[in-house]
Amino acid sequence: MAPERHGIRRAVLGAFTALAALSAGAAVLLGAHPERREDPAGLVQEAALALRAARGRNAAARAPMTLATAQDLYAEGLLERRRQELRFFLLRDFRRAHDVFQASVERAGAATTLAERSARRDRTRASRALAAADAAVLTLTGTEDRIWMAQPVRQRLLRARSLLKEARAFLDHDAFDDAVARARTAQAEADEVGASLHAATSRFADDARLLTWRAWVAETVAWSRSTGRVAVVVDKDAHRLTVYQAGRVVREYDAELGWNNVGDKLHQGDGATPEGRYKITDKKSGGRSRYYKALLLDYPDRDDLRDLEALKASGEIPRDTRIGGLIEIHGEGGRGKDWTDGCVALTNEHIDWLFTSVAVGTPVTIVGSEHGEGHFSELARRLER
Amino acid sequence: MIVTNRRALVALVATLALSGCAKPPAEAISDAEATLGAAVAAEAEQYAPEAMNAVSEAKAALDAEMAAQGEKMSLTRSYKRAEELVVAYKTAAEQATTAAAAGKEQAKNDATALITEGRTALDEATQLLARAPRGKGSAADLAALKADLEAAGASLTEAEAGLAAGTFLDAKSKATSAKETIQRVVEDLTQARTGR
Repeated sequence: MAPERHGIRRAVLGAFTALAALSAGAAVLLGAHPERREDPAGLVQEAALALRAARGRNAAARAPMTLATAQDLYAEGLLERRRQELRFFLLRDFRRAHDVFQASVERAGAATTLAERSARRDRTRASRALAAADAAVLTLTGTEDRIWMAQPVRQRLLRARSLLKEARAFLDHDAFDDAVARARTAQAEADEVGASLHAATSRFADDARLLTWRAWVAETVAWSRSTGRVAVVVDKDAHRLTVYQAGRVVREYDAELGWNNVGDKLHQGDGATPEGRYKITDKKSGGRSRYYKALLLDYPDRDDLRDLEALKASGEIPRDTRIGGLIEIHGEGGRGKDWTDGCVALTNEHIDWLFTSVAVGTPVTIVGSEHGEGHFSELARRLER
Repeated sequence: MIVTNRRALVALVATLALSGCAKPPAEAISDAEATLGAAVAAEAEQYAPEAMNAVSEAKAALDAEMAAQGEKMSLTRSYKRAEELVVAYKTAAEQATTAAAAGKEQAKNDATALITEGRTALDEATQLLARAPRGKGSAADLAALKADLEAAGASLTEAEAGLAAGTFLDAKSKATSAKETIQRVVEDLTQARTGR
């Protein structure tokens, strides 16, 4: 019995000693690394909030890989934390859980940053599309006041401007895709208008045509010089009527043209002022003109008739189209716009002077552009760029 | 003495055996996942993002618990906490489904109201434009305002299409933009009337 008791005593003593050694060891361990026992509850919250922030910035679409990594780390942190919670309390070690949650917070932050950057890129993309459309529309600023546009072209320009406003509204609401779509449509509309206007005005900046027109002017001036008489030159591009006497400029007046100011007259009702070398055939005053006083020109001449026949033959205009007539230089001008049906309008004061200075037979040369300096040629060059 | 020890041993084995019978709450989990499916189908990510965050967090906690228990010896596993977590997960998913339905309904109502208001405003603005004073130089301004109204009308049509297709947030965005454009036109027209 005595040896048996002695054995039990030894076993109990041994167990106490082992427990004491274990506790001492744990105490040493915990003393060396107090963070081992620190539950990362705060970091769990921080990581969850960081993930919420990232999702709120649409990181799921804008930074999916980084967000997925952050979420995986968060899940791994939760598992590691739970593993430690399930261990004997003296053996718990939350250091890895801390590290993993910390990494999750950082990744979630990175996902937020990437998502914000991506949103900024989208905003920049939309802003650029808007700026490009804006520039395309800006190129056309003022054109509708100075250059005749067919109704569909005018409507297109208005639509481009409205779409641009819509694009701005979408951009203000962070609807970037809609902003880009509107801006691109606006630009396409503006480009169409630009193409139409370029087609209408390019001849005013065309070197070959300019040479022809300059030759007409030079001939007219030479005739004036050689005869010592008056000759008139109308530059449609510059909206200027110049009077020569003996080859020298004696007067320059602002001139207003037909409402289809960029066109060359082809037929009746087209609203264009004809281009060519004409002569005055009649001087109307005293109630014979609707517009104060008028100098009737010999439009159409043979060249005009030939051009009309060529158009009829090509089928571009109906066979029964008439060429029109009654093209005059008349008064009632000074309206600040091109408004006549194809005539050249001056102010009454200017027509008064001209009326007394010219005679039946005085040459009147009307050119598209003499120097390529005017609204039309300037726009043609702008649109060319 | 030997009999007592044997009884204790049997009791211990029975306890361990019973513990070993602890099963994961598979049915409850599958039930909760079906609820999550319903939340996703209800477009909770779009219409109730905050509620979906809570679902994600509840699911992550449950996944961690299940994995932690899975790593333990089968006889020592306990799914008591997992059962609590799965209830929380399902509740969060149900709340997300409810919030999504409410959010979607709200967005639909908002879009419908905005479109209705936009259409009314467009009609009024069109009438105002028709009655606008026409004087020298006003034709171009009026044509520009008319084009603005046409563009706003096109946006409203797109918003209506979005409403019909169930893309309510997009419909809201387009209707809002259209309404702003119309308001601007009305302001311009009103200013022109009072200014003259």
